[in-house]
Amino acid sequence: MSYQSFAFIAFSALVVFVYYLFGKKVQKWVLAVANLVFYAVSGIQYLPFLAVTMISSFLAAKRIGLIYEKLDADLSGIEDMAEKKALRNQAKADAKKVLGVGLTIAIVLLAVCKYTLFMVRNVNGIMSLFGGPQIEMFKMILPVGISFYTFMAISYVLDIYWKRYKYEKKFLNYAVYLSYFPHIVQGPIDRYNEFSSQIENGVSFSYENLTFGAQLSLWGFFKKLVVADGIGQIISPVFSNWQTSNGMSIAVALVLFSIQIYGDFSGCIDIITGVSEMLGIKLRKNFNHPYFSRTMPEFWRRWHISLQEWFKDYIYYPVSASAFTKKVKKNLKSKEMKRLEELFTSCFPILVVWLITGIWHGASWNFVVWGLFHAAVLIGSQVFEPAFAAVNEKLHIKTESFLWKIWQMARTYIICCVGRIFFKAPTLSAGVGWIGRMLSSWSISSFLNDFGIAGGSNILSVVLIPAWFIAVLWLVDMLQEKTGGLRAVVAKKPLVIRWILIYALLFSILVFGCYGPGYSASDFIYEQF
Amino acid sequence: MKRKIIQLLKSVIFVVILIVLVFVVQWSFINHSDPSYQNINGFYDQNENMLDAVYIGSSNCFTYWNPAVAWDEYGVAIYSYSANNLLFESSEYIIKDCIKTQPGAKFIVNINTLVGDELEMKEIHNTASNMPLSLNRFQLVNHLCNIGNFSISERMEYYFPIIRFHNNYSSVLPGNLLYKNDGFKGSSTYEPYVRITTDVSSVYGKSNEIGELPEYLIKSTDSLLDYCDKNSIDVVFVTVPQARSEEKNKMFNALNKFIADRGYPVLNLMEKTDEMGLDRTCDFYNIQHTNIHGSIKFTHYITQYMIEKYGFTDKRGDKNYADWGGMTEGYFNAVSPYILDVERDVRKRDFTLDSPTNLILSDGTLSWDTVENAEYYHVYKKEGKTMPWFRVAEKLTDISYYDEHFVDGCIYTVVPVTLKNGEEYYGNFPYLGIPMDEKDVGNVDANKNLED
Repeated sequence: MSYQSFAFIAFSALVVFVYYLFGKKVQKWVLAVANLVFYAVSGIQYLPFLAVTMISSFLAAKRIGLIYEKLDADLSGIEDMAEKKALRNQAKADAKKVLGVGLTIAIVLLAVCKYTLFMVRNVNGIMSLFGGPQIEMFKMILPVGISFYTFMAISYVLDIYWKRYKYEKKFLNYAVYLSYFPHIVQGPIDRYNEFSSQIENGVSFSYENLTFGAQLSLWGFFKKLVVADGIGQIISPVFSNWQTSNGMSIAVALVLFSIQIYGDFSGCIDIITGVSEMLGIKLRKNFNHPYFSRTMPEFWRRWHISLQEWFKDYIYYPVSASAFTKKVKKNLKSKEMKRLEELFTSCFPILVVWLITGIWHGASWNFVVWGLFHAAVLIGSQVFEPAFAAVNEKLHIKTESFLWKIWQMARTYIICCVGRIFFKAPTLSAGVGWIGRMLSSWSISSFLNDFGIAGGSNILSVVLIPAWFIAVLWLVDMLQEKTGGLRAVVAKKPLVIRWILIYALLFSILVFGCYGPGYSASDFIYEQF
Repeated sequence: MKRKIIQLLKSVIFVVILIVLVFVVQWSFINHSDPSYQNINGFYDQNENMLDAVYIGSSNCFTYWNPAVAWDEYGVAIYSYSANNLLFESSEYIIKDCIKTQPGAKFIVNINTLVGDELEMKEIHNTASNMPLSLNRFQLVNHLCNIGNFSISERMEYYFPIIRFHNNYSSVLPGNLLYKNDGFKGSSTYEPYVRITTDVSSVYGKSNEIGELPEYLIKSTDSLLDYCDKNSIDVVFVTVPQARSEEKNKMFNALNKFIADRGYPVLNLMEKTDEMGLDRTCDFYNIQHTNIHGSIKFTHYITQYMIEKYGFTDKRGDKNYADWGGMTEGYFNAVSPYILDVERDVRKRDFTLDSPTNLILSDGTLSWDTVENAEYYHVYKKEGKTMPWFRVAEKLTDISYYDEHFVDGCIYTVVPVTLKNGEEYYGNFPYLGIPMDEKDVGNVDANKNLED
């Protein structure tokens, strides 16, 4: 069931209605049934995979929790320090084994479903170089949301292992969390303790939750159907015919694609966050107006926040604290390479995180290159930060001036666009081909033809209307950046103003949205992950 | 508690305003310039209980039936409730809508457009989306979607046409905002219909064989006839003459028989082309539709039939029908570049008089071959392709005419005339005149067209 479909709107409305109708005690069951229906409609064949991850992670965390409870009980009756230490080590070893099993099941399932064909393609490629036999390609099942719910399951088990909070005793609570229909397909990647505390005692009906949530969903539909899909209609012919598209066209299409993917992904997140808010459950923030970022590190703190925080908590810090990292640091320290030691401490985990990020995004070499590109940019910003600061000082640049901030935002945006070459390109060779065309063929007349605006035709639908809505998106983002909560500001305005704004938004979607027959289905870009 | 009531009230008002706005905006995106919208929408502007009959059908209705001609010659008010691809299977629901404002009207129903192998989107939209909102319209959509086995999501665009048409904002909105019904009551000014002549005689075929009717069509027709029986509605069913495949001929024959067996009058006009005076070499604009010349003859035939059957009176001069008089004046002005005054009354035609041949125009001199049994000739002229025809010379006994006001661009035609009891009767004549624009002569591709 697509988040942008009428079926999802009707489904969500029904769930919200039933959720509050039967009272707090039944709400978890309502969500459990709704989650099951939602997931089954997406593909009943995917249910066993979700069930395996859900049950194995729940049992693993429970087992670990019981090990710690037993340890606490045993320790309370022992005075001898050596004995206590031995008990702790034993408990930790036992917990680690269980952790290993729990994580392995989840990761193996994800790897098999998502990366088997990638591996087969690469093996076949190598074998073909030596005239070897080819493995026959087969259709691999890819459960909806597996990348997201696997990460949520991993975070839960690790949090229990690291004793961040107590393990969940009731399977229903955990099942509702992992299969929660708003976040299962595209995130955000929520943490169990933040989620469960909201539904623990049930949720009371709140008119504000209902209206604010509906407004947020509406805004999400605007971003997706009007801005993102509208841009998609314009740029997709350029990308699909890239071999004959003008270099300038590809460059402009990439710039527009960055807006499209923001509208698409953050639009989806707004839709489901709004639905969740109507149910009284606040999800993790996933976007914080990323295109106002002045540096790439800042960008990645504002874009797909839940994923970045997951990597920070479960990859970056553990890698930083790993035995390998410590060993290298010690080695560098002994050689008095302080700067190198500092850089290695921060940059090596960045490299690991971005390698995994690239692979997580897709089973394709162009995503690996994309990940490595951003690793290089982030590492570069660390390495060259002192040099840049020195140059700025020497040139007396006012780094907090308005113009400098604009330059930084533009620069950050362009770096993003460059990175998106490999994110958007269907293959690595296509990405290289795009770069080749951008460097070799620039022509204004070809550019106008590629976008269908030669001779002034289609100016309204290709230029003016999309530009208007992009401006609206930018304005609202800017106001949100400044106010920190635009819905609360709007809520204080007179009723007539509020209704005019909402009707304007609704009818913008109704009239200019890319939906219905005549538009090719434009699924959410991040659904593929 | 008071706060909750106020919140609930605000929500209700919000939703009501939203629904109204959605339907207003939706109306704006239906193409008002389309003949389907003009014809259907115009029906609901008619004064209540004033129509003698309503003629229901697809383009086989508005390119055959011409209300202006019926009123002009007989004073009979029969409205053309027609739309492109309007399906016969919709008839019951359209009749239900019509009798709300025209309870005394008789009905003529075209059966030429049936659901094919697959129900097409336009077949539903062209009818239902142009009708005013009502439960009946909703039921019509359901009925057609059931025939097409459409899922709920597939049906949404028919309940809410804005889903289909919302991207029309640049092409349709400006015209719609200036919309005004042409007031022709379904009389067509469709450009190919007025301009083109096509020789369809090579593909025109009849068949007496009777085919099989699909189950849904039997149910649909039974339901329609049951409704008419129950409500004592008078209906005449018509199969218009057109070139079509053998399979379609068999289907229509089967349907004709089915309806006739239920006791309803069926006019299978495939058999009546000679009686109507229809000339298959020039009275059609394509294999499935007459042009304006053919439709004038068709209209006369049907009008005479309906007058004889139901005793319709001549209401010309009745001030309650002033809009019909005004309509014909406006309509014939609009089509004056395409038809001659002598065409309007088929009772004054003698189709045994052949069309003059070998028409030659040279330096202002028009010449032609003699037409057997013609007493004399009238010469008509128009000063440009879209200028009105007018009689420039009459009662010529010579077979040539010199126009001293000839200039390049003038077009001429010749009408042979015979006399009966001192009254003039007009024969066949070249509709396009000379010099002829080849673009106004249609082509027939038998293999391709008959499959449609």
